[in-house]
Amino acid sequence: MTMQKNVDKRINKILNSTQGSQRAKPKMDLLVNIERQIYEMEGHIIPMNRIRLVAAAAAIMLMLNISVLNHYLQNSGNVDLVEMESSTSLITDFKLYD
Amino acid sequence: MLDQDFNLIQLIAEGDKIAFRQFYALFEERVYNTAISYVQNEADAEEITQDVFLKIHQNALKFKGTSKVSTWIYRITVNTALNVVKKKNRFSFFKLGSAETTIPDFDHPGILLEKKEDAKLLFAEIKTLPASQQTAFILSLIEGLPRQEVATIMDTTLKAIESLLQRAKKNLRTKLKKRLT
Repeated sequence: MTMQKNVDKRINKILNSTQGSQRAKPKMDLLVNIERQIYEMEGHIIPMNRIRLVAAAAAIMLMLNISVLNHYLQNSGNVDLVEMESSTSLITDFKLYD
Repeated sequence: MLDQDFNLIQLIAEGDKIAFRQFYALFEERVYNTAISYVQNEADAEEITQDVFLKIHQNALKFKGTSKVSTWIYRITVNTALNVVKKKNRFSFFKLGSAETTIPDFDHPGILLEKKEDAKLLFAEIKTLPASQQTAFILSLIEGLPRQEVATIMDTTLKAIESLLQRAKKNLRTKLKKRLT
């Protein structure tokens, strides 16, 4: 019975062994390591604004190119006709034989 | 104090380095002490502390102040520490049958000298508790947080925390009794 009491007493002592303790402190240079990691991560990240700007510029270039191509395709038939007419007149104006 | 913490988070979200250093000074010991209680070695506790503060820095913008800043910090710390413990346990499972099976006793640097030997036995058994009992025990009885705050951190009720603590102590008593007799 006394042995049981002693064991229980010891167990209570163990369960309360953290009372009065202080918090463990990390080493002094841990913050330096953390800041270095943050700095490294920030260096590899492209700001979102820059991505948006590049995307907008690319979209404008694409639209301009499409617009020019479209204009060219629409007018390419007329150009051929005009060229044909002018070349015909050249030929007839310079007919050498009657 | 609470507003100061939230203000610091907002400044950190804006990239204020001085605010981050101030915040670190306020919370480093809480984070580290919680971490070391889980992993029981300084190297892993330092790694967890680094991860926690990196997460704080990355997620400061998302923090809206719906909970206390300290609650948020402890949540991140507990989750990060538990992930590390889980990973280590998985790794040690694959090392079954290896010659080295003894784990050195953990000497917590903050324990009073006259209580160090008893604390070593306590920490050896805390490690064997289920995660929820371990967390309740560490936050309440090692970090000394009020039980309501522990309940908020663990996203549960006060009653649930009291039940977890009761079970944790009962388990620890049983395990310690086996050791001592």
